[in-house]
Amino acid sequence: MKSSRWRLLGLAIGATLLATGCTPGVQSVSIASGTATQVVSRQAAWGPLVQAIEKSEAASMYKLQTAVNIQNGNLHTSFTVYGTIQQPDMASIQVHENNFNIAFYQQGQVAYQQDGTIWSPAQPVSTLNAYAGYRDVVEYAMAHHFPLVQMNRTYVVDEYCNVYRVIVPNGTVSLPAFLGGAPGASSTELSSHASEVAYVFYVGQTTGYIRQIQTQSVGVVDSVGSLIMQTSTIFQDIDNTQLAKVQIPVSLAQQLEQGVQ
Amino acid sequence: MVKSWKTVGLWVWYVFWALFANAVYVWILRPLVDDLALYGVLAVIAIILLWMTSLKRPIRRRWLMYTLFVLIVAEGYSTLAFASKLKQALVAIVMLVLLWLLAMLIGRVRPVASLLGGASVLIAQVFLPLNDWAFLTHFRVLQDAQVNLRVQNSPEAPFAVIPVKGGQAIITIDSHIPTKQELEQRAISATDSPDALYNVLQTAQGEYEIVELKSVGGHLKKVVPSPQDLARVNPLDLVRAFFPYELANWYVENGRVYEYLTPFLTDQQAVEAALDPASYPASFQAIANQASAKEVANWDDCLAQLGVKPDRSGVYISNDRLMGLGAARGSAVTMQAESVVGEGHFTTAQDNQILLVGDNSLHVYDVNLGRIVASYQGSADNPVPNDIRIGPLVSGGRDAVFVNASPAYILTVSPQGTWKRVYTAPSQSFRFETVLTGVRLYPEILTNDPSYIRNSPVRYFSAYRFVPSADGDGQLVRVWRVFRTNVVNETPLHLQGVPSEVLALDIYGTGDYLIIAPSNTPVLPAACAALAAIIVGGWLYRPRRNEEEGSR
Repeated sequence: MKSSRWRLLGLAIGATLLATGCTPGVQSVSIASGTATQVVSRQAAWGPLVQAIEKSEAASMYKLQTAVNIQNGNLHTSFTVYGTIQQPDMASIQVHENNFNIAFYQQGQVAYQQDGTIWSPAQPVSTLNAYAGYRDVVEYAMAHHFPLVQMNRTYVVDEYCNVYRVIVPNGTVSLPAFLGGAPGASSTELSSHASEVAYVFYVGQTTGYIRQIQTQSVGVVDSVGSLIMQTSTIFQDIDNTQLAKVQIPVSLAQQLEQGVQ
Repeated sequence: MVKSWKTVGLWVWYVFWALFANAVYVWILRPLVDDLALYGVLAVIAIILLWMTSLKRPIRRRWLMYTLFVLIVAEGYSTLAFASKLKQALVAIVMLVLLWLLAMLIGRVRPVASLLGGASVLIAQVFLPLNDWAFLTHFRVLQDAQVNLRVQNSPEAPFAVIPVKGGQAIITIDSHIPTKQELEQRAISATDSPDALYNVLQTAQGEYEIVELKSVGGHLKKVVPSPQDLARVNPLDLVRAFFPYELANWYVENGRVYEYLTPFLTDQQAVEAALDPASYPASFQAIANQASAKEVANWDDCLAQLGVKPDRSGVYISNDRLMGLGAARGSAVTMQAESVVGEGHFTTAQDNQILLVGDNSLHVYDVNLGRIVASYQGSADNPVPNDIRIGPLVSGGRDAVFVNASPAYILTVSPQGTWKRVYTAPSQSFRFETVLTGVRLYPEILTNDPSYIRNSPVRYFSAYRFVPSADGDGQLVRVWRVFRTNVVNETPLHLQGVPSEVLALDIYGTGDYLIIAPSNTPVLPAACAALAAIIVGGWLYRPRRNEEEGSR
């Protein structure tokens, strides 16, 4: 009698343990903390967005997380960046290109890059403002009277944001210098050989900074076809002198202390 | 004599049960949990309890332990992964013996019969791994083989399908590690540029060889591709897993083509691109186009070294021109499109038409009329990717266009050239893989899609039938589901020596590939019936108390 009761208890515990395997699990944290989905207003005013861009461009330090995802057939490839930037000329960032990893550190005229575990001297980057460029998008859209759409309020990182979306031709933003004269990289070629780009700006309701920018577009590549390209850029700890301060990477300091340039 | 026959019968029964218990696990029990979540767990518990009631007291412990033993042996072996076959075999034998000793100790199982049963599930898996038994419910597995990949840069074997005499073949990649002598020879002769030695040594352990999977008597065999076969390949089909961030560098040595990967951007360029997020859509578009041009030039260069010119099969796009038209395949027309999806019958069920992907758009080009007869324009919100399948929705009907966006959807074109979205997938991760015709009365739409009940995004290989509704839209009704996940690159293939069309597919993250052919044998109903018969048989069976052995 006693043993059958124990057996029943054992069975109940066993069944519970089995069942917990199928209950909703913890979802993995996504780099994009929020995505607006509904259109609230088809004709929003440009004023608040322009102000946010001006305020953000003037920010002196921030952390940055970006991701570029490209869908090619059934496969996705990604380019992700984590970094801290301090105006005008300090930065510490990590770039992950699929499975190649690069680290980069800059202070003024001093710059180092890391491949694997070894740091080596690099060229400093002249303009270190990740907010630069968005002004081109907004000014182009205003000049051409493109509609600005307001979307539902969305929570990003640590505050609610007003969300604006505008669709512009590809190639309205000037490219990084190394792509300047490259074939297929002129703005006319880009606008004729790639889809329009939807830029979605998330403007913090409390701080007034731009907190997140997402883009959605279709790149068109010869012999490959169309690639869906989604990017997301998140800014955090903006002007937070404690958290967004650029520091010399420990491994770089150690290497230089040992006298290895 | 009588006794020995009885022993042999017992052994056969033990071996049968070892294989059958694992088949029931893969075909019935695991799918219930995978598809129906908590309800499935309850159903599995019910089935197990029902089965246990059929085991009479004197034999219950023994059979319970024996069943657990063969399940654990099979599952254990299926998770072993050693590069060397010898190591794999040794570990498998050690595992089998230890589990067998444990089963004898705890379950007092019959020693010889149990060992035979355990060994049989190992041997069965040499032919077909446990996880791939799932295919057997709806397919015959013609081949289960693998290429060696480094999954961090190539999670699946790329399939570039080319026409060969009597059928089709696949060009793919296989890991190639040079021997010590080869490497020494190459290192010492790397003298032609300042970084030549660095290039040779840095990539030596990460090289691939371009290989061909060619039908030899209905079996795919890994061979060195002929230059003529390589000339038919679109090299961009081989680089999808890392394009455009990593560049495949191809070179020819002793008539073979080898590949190694380097980052496309220099560190400095990657950092500059990274720090300018506003221009990502433009910069990565430009980077992708440059990478594409470089890959094509590099491939063509290798072909030139092998003494052949590119001879792309079928129709294709090059520099905004549709090439390979006409009887001699010499004609071309100018076209604002970037790639060919395939040929089909889109606006009528007869005319030969070509589906093209362009600037976020689809175009149907009619070969006979010589012009575009229908165009579909995507938007920034609603993009058209290059991940598209073609096939009929109903038998003998016009071809529909299956677009793998998120969510995926199906488009049809009317004879007037107007497009209609007839179906939108209920889940963001739903994918269309291919359309099988000629197996059943209706086309089977093969997909990878998740359970409707669980909130897990895990996808299973499934087939659906399109059922039109009155308003011209339709629903997909599931025909079957193979509970195998990570099934990718489903590619219909005509093999020399095989009369009907077969499917080639990859198992994501492994380098394994399978060749399967649809089968109409009712494997699953038969297994259910057999299980029911065994349970009922157990209820009717009365073991003698003192003998402590049973027919099961």
